[in-house]
Amino acid sequence: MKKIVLLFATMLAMSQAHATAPDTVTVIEQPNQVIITETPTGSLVKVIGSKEKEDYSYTYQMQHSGNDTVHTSQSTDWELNLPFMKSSNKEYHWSIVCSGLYFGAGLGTSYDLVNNSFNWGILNFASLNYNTLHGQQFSIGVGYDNKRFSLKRPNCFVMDEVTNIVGIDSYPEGTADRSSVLSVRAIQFPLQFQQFLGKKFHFTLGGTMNWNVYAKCNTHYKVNKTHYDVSYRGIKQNKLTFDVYGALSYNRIGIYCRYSPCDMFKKGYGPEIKNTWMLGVAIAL
Amino acid sequence: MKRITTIMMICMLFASTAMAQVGLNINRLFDGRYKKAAGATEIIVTGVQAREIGLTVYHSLSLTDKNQAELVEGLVVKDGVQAVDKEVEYRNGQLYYGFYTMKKSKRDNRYIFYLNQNLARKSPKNIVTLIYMEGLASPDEIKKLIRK
Repeated sequence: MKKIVLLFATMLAMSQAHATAPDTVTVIEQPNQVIITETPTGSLVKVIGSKEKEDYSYTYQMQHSGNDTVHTSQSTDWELNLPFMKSSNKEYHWSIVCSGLYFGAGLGTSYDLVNNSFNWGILNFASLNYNTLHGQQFSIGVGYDNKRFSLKRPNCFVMDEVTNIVGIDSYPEGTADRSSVLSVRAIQFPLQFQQFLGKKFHFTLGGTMNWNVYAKCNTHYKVNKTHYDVSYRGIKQNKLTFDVYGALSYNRIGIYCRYSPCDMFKKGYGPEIKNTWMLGVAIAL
Repeated sequence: MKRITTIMMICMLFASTAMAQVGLNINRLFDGRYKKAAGATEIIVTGVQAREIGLTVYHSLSLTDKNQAELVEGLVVKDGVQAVDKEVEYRNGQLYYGFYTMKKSKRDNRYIFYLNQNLARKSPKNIVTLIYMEGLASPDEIKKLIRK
């Protein structure tokens, strides 16, 4: 405090003396109270009480004339930080969220005999997000994905139960209500980037590693009012596949497009179903 | 009997924290009158959360009613007379901020902080804040705590 008083008093003296060397006006040891006030016409330093005398009083006043050049520095505002005050708008760099429920239909695949395909899943059961707080977000997570491919009639999936090789055959003669579907379920590990465009729009780009934990071919048909439902398990699906995807969202509802370049079956264990395009709706992405 | 003793102890604990600012004029403002008032936010923190920031009692009151500023300022200034150390700034004749170190309560330091953000130069806000704090934290630590 003493240093501040000295400094201020010296500065005042300097401003009055213009270019002359600074002189010490006074030294007050351990003042009790220092009051510095400013008026439009001058400055006042008042010191009350000192180490030696409780009732000590000293006043230094300087009047500014019209020709004076006075340098003053106003105190800055107190930027209050209230502890324990929860702000609903407060944003954090790191977060863990559940996001991205999606449903999509196939736009096409490399395999001609696929009639249509369907895709749904939850992109992130849980993801670790890093938000730059400048409109970008990176995340890594774990989710679930399901892809279904149905064949054009009269083709159906069949599997050799010895070699576990899946092939294509025709339905028996005289069948009705026919469908033959390959279903692949995966635990997916998405890595994605999001760019926010304003408060409500954002686009997403990402890739996933799919751990295809389960695959099944199911062929269904009816002969003379008898329903047949044939399921083949033990299919040799590719355990690891990779997809890339992009999405555009408004208010966390958007459209997504997903491309799967990898073959669904291990080489030699089924038809080449790859280069699949899906398009659909994503919620809470 | 055990239960009654426990309840009595809890009541005494609450009473001791609620009355932490006893003997001060600002105590009038913490009598619960603002608990349900519109435009008022009152926060009372004791225990572990308070200890994490070097305090035993943290009691704040934020008011958005301009008319209350005069009342709060008056009480703060009255308490300020008893302060063992203070740092104040007046703007346009009104108390802009005041940081008062009061007499110790046992081993705890006691502080009163007042800020009238209506008098801010950069971006004035219609908020008057009063904080009463008790704890081992030093004045510098308190300032760090409540200043961005």
